[in-house]
Parts: sequence; C-alpha cells; structure tokens
Amino acid sequence: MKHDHKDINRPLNDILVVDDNPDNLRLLSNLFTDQGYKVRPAPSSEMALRSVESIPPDIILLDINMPEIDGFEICQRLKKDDRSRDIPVIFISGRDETKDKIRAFESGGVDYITKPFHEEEVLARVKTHIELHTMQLRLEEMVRERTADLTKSNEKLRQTELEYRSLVENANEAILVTQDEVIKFFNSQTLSLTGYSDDELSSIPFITLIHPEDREKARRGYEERISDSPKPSSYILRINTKSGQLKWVLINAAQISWEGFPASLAMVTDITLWKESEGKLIKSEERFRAFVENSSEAIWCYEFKKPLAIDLQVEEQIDHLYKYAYIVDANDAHARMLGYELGEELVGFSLEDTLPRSLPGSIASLEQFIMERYNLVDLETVETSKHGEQIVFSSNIVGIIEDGHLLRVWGTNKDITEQKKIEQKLIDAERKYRTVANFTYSWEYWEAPEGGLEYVSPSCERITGYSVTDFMERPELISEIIIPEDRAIWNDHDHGSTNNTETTPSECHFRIKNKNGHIRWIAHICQSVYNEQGDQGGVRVSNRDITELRNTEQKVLEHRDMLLHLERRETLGQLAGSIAHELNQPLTGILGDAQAGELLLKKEKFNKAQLREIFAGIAADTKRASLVIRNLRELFSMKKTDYNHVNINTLIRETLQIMNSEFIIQSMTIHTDYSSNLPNVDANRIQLQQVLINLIKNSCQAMLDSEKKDRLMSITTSVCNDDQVAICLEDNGPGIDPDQLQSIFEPLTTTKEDGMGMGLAISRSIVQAHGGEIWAENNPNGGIRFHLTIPAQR
Amino acid sequence: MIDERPTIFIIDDDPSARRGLSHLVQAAEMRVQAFESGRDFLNQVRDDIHGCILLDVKMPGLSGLDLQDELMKRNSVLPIVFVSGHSDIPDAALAMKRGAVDFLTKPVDGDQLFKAITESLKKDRENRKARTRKADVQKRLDTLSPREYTILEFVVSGMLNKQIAYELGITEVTVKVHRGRVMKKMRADSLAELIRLAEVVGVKPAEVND
Repeated sequence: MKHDHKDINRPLNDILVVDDNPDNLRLLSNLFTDQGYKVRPAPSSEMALRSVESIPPDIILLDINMPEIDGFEICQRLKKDDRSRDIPVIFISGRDETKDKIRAFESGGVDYITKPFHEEEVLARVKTHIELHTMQLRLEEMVRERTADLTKSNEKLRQTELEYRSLVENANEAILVTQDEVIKFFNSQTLSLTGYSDDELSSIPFITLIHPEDREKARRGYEERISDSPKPSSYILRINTKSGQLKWVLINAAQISWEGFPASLAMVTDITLWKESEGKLIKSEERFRAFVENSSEAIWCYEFKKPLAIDLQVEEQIDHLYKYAYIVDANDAHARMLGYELGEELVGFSLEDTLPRSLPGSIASLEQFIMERYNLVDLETVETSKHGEQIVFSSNIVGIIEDGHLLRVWGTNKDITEQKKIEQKLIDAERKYRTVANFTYSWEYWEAPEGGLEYVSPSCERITGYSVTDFMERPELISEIIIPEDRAIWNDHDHGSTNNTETTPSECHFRIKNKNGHIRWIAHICQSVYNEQGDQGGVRVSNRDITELRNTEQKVLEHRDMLLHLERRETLGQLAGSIAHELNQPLTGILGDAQAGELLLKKEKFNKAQLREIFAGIAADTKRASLVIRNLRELFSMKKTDYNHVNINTLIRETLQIMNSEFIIQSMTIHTDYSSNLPNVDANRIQLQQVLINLIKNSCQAMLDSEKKDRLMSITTSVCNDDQVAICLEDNGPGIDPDQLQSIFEPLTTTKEDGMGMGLAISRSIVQAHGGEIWAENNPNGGIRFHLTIPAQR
Repeated sequence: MIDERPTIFIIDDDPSARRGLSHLVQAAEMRVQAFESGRDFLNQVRDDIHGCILLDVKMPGLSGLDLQDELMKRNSVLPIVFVSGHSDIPDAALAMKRGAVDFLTKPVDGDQLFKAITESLKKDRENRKARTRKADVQKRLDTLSPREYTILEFVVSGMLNKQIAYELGITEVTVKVHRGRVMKKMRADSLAELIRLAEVVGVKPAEVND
C-alpha cells in the first residue's frame, strides 16, 4: 500500500536532478524542462534527501561525486526507505571505471550514464526507465486488485455460509428434514415450537407431533413429496407440543436429497396467532357484513374493470367511470331504495344503470368527487330506480387509491327524496309567503326577538316613501316618522309584548309624515309569532294605510248623522198625530180657560176664585205645551249634540212624556221599573232617545196590529256586570218570527207596511257607537223583549 | 130640591182638557160633571138623567167609541159630542154613524162647543119626549088581546078586511069588530095614526104566505 498516494494513471514526469556542480545542474534541468518534465534541481545531498522525503519523485538523476554524502550513500539510504525504495535512480558520473559502475548497480541504481553525455542518450535512458517504472507500477496494481477480489470472494463465501447457518438457526420458521418418518435435521426454532429437547426430537417419529385429526393429511402430504413427481406443497396443520398445547402451523414443504435419498424439507410457521386473529378478523368481517346488511343506509362499492389513473383529465376520468365502473357489493337497503330486493341483484350494475349521465347533477357530482381527488365527499345525487323513478340521495363516497390509481369507491346513500320534497315544499311555501308578503298592500315587517328587523315588505315605500333598505338599516326610522302629536300613541302601545297565541293582536292608529311630507294615517297591528314549540319568534307588524279609510269614515259619520236626522224626521211624521194630540191637550185647557174667563168677564158679578183658577190653568198648560215643544225641538233639530253624562232613568221618563199621547191613542199601558242607583252613561242624549223612541214605536206598532185589548209595555233599568247599564223593553204583543230575530237589526228589514226599515238598524249602529249592545228575544208568554246595554261612566 | 137643569158630562183622561172644558161650560152657567174614564161615568151616572156627554176619543181602557157603543147597548139616549185630540176621519165617521151629535177637534172653540151642546140638549129633550110617548103607546099595545095583536099586524101590512078575513078564516064582520077594538085600545083616530103608533113600538107587519 506504499503507493496508495500515487495515481498510476498520472504520467510520470516528476524528476529530481542531484548535482553539486551548478553548471551541470542547470544543463540537466533545462534539458528536461524543455522536454516537458517537472524538474526538481537539488545542488546538495541534504537537499536531495529532504526533497525525496517531502514528496517522492518519479525518477532521480544522481551525481556520485558530492561532498559530505556521495551518490552511492544517498542511493543506499533511499533504497532502505519504503517510501523511496521503488524510485528508479540513474547515476550520472565522470568516472568511467567498472568498479564504480558495479558499485552503482549494487547500491540500487538502475542505470549509469558517464559524463560527458549526449543529451539524447540521457533523455532516452530516462524515458525508458520511466516507462519501465510505469509498467511495473501497473503490474503491481493489477496483482493487488486480483488479490483483493480473491479475498472478497472468499469472504463472501464465508459470509453466505454464515448467513445460511444463521438463517436456518435464526429463522422464524422451524425447519426440519424428515426421512422415513424420522427427523434427520431440525433447527433451534423446532425446539421452541414443539417444546421437545434435541434428543427427544431425534428419537421420536415425526408423526407423533401432529394433531391426531391432521395425521392422515400430513402423511398424505409426505408421500406426495417423496413420490417420483413431487410438487412443493403448502398446507395448514395442527400440532401438539410436548406440553399438550395445540398450535396451528403453516407447512411449506419440498423434496430434497438427504444423504443420497429423497427427504422432505419442511418450513413450519407458527400461525396460531394469525389463526386466532383470523378468527377475530372473520368476526370483525362478519360484524362489518352485518352492519352493512342491516344498515338502513345504502352501502355500496364500485370497482373498475380497468384501474383508473387519477391524473387524467376530469372528462376522461368521467368517461372511464362510465365505461369501467361496476358494482361489486351493495347491501339490501341499497337494493330496496332502488326498487330491488337484494343487494346481490345490483352487483354488476354499471354507473349508467343507477346514475345516468342524462340526469341533472350526475356529471356535476362526479366532477366534484374527482376534483376532491376521491377524498370523502358529501354529495347529493339523483339516481333512477328499477321503476324509473328519480330518487334523491344524500351520499358519502370515498375512493381507495393505490399508486395513483383508483381501485374502488365505497359509498353510502340515504334516501332523502321525501325530505327533498318537504324541503321543496318548504321552499315553495317560503317563496309563496314571501311573495304574498312582498305583494301585500300593507307595509309589513317582522321584528326579531333580539331586536332589529328580519323582514320589511316592499310596500313600505308606497306608504312611507322610504325604502326597505332604509328601514332595515335604521329600524328606529319607524318611530321617527310618526308625527309628534301621535308619538304618545306609539309609546303607549304594547307592540305585541303582551300578546300570546290566544289574544287578539294589539292595534293602534297614528299618523306619520312620509318622505314627501304628506300625512298618512296608519293602523299599526302587532302580533307576536310563535313557532311550533311555542317559542316567541319576534313580532309581526302590519301597518295599514288607513288614510282613505279615515276620510271615508268621516264621510260615513256625516252620512250617518244625516241618516239619523232623516230617521228623526220620519219619526216626527209618524208621531205627528200623537204630538198634535200631546200639544192639543194643553191647548184645549188653555183655550177652554181663556174663553171661560171671557164669559165670566161678560157678567156683572163673577167669582174671583173661579177666575184665579182659570188663570192658573192657563199658565200650567202653557208650560206643559212649551215643555212638549222643547222636547220635540231637541229631538228633531239638526243641532249636533256631544257626548255627555246621561241618566238613563231621566231619559226614559222624558221620552215617555214625548210618547205619552201615542200610548193614550193606542190604549197602551206603560209599566216602568227604574233602578234607584243607576250610574250615568257617557252618551249622545238625542241619539239614545232616538233609540228608545224607535224601540217603543216598534212595540206600539206591533201591538196595534194585534187584537189584544190590554196592551202593556214595561221598561226596566238595571245595572249589569257592575259596568253596564241595562235597559229592558218588553211588550205583550205578537212577538216576532224566531227566524227574523237575528235580521231585524239589518237595514231595510221591516215587518211594518210603512217605515223605511231603518229604525232598528240605526238603533243598533247608535248603540254600538256607544260601545253597547242591543238584541231581541221573544217573551215566553208572548211579545218581544229588547235588551240594550251601555257601558257605565267610569 | 131636584136640580132640573141638564148636566154636561165631560169624559176625558187628560187633566188639562178636562179642566179647561169644565171651566168653559161652567162659565156658561151649565151644570158640569167631569170623569177621567168612561168606566167611572158608567158606574156613577144613572140612565134617566138628562143632559149630554162631551167625550174624548182616545183614552186608556175604555175609549170614547167603546163607551158610545156601550151606552147604545144600554139604551141610553144621552147625546154625545166627541172632542178628539186629533182628527181621525174613520173614527169621526163611525162616531157620527152611531148617532153622535158632533165630532170636534181639540183645542175646541167655545162657540162651536156651545152650539153642539145646545143641539145636544135639544136632541136630548126630543129623545126623552119620544121615549115617554113610546112608553105610553106600549102601554096601550099591551092591552091588546092576541087576536087583536094579530089583526094589528095584518092591518100594518096594509091588507083589507076582506083579505084579513080570508087569511084568518073568519068573517069580514068579525075582522071589523076586532079592528074597531084595536083602534079604540090604541086610541087611534085614523088608520094612518094606528100605523104610526105601531111603528113607534116596533110592531112588525105580518108576513103573508102566497
């Protein structure tokens, strides 16, 4: 290895020239430098030795005659050193004596050149020696390589043997050779597998190791192996260990030659654990199967007649799927969903069979799956059933990929057709309601429970001039546009807070100033909304523009006033006779008295007391007449009267006075029963009187038509429910057809030949305007009974 | 001393009218008696008293027309002047048909009233005279024998003696004898007077079967 540092492929041109004569040294140096050598000139022996020591040159030209150490000495020293021993040394000397030449070769030189020398000779000799040296070095290298190879292959052989030995000894399998039922060879694993000792294994028949049930199988296997045409065989057996433990083993056996005769080489693997885990696996598989089979979800698996490379273009992958995918597994649930019975029926189905390209969404679903690189995706797919129905599935699918190829696809389907239908219905309903809401004429909005607005209908713009966005962004705008006078109404309103599902919505009316500055009347109705669980879901608010209604109402009120007036005029006409009668009575008294007075005054002598009586009569009757007129004037004037505190008892008394003659004329007896502690009511006196007159007239009329002689009417007042004043008018007339009881308060309904049929209708509208009620019933003993209630003054 | 003056009965439920009318009639020096209902009047007033009634039409209980009807049933001859609170044509027509003297409307003018009262009292006197005469004739009639009454019925029917004899199957002479007695008992001077008397007491002519 002494040349390790030297590259033998390098051209040898490093030349050391040693000479104490500078002229010679320069001459030689120039000579070799010119020829392309790398020249190291050394002018002394010491320098020559140091130079060789530092880096050995390829060749040395050495002068013999040098002070201190001569050329022979230097050469001998170099030849003693391993590092420099092989460097060829060529002596150059002026001495031409044989003994010098012999000494030179003895000291280890390869050549001897005598001075003076020819340059060509020197160059040729050096070149030759360098070539020789090069060849020598190569040869040495070759020998060294050969030796190394040999060593290596020896080592390898040794190693292989070791490995096999170790393999056999350290194999997981038990390895044994049997011949004629005798175990000829076994490794240490055989010992641990069987639990027997070396000696025992060598002495017992092989067959005793085998579980009795498997012995026949083992024997047959052995005979097959020993036969003339043996085949390597593999089978599973049970063996009994020395301790009686049962072990499952896998035997791979082949025929070998042992000591010149066929034998069986068996590699025995303990698969007991595997067998056990296989049992577990089977159980697990069974469980998986059971799960799959009993799952209410469809479970299926596609495989491919040709593996699918997942780096293809999406379209190509889809084509591949349609071309090569087929169902390899599907559970019964899947079959049932598609209108079949058993999962097996689906096996072999292509993708087109269940997920036709023509169905909407099929391609999109697959694209999504592909884009996800077959990772688990949640898709909604539409598949066709056996009967051609379209079934909507919610699918979870995942692909199994190996080496860039899709091997299979597992998936589960859940039939959500019904769910989708319901969803669609909900969507439709939502759209419908939204459409309805959007097109409602009213301005609707929905306040969320946590504040803010969930919805505002577009009609807000028609009513307020502000847009949906205006309200959504600033819900307080609603209260801001209310005119200041009406803001208290808004503030006092409960805004649905006291609503529950049973109560009626709360309503209030106020005015707003819309964007254009116009005043609009708004009916504001709040209704809490509840979901099916009864949780409050906010408040639904409806704002109706009632400006027109308000105007109309105003007109209606005016019309009603007019109608009431006309009704009173009609009453006046009907009462004309009795009014005349009522006035004529006092007038009769007055006229009679006045003429009586005249007669008296014509006499010479008359009774003063009699005259006084006459005057008193005149005065009383004048008052009586004026009272009649005053009552009439109030009743029939166009003058509007406001609501006032009215005592119903007093009102009835006054009314009966007006009607007095009517009763007399119609020979009717009036019975009254006034409640002594009747509270006042807030009422329009004239309107209520009108109602009383209408009712009394009605009874009078009814009784006039009857044959009855003892015509009787009774009027009772009472307090009802603590807060109502009740009036009951009862007659003993013919009563009314029960079928007509409900309708007599309708306008233009009349049982009389004369009259507009408005009396009772107007009466009802008056009573209702007072917050009261009016209804009629037949008396059990004949005749009609009117009930009338008016809220008592608080 | 019995007051021979006629009495003016005022029946009116209304106090004002009752009072005013009473004062007026009293001022004319007439005797007045006022009632507030027809029932009161019927209960208190005897039939043979003379005078007249000022009667209201519309009254609770017994109305004026009802009272008039009742008085007729009782053969009362008291003339009635209706004084009505309002002029009701059907009422007035019915009242007049039944023999009312007048149908006045309130307020009543004194002249009109007194004219009616005067007329009523005159009628009352006539009525009474007629009634007295009728009672007298009736007494005479009651003295007739059944045969004489039958002859009277034939005579009133205008039959001749010969015809009456034939109808009754008796001689004409016998008829003459009966007829003479009838004339005598009835104190009739002529056939015309006999017929008038028969009429006063309501003797009906005999019906002759042909």
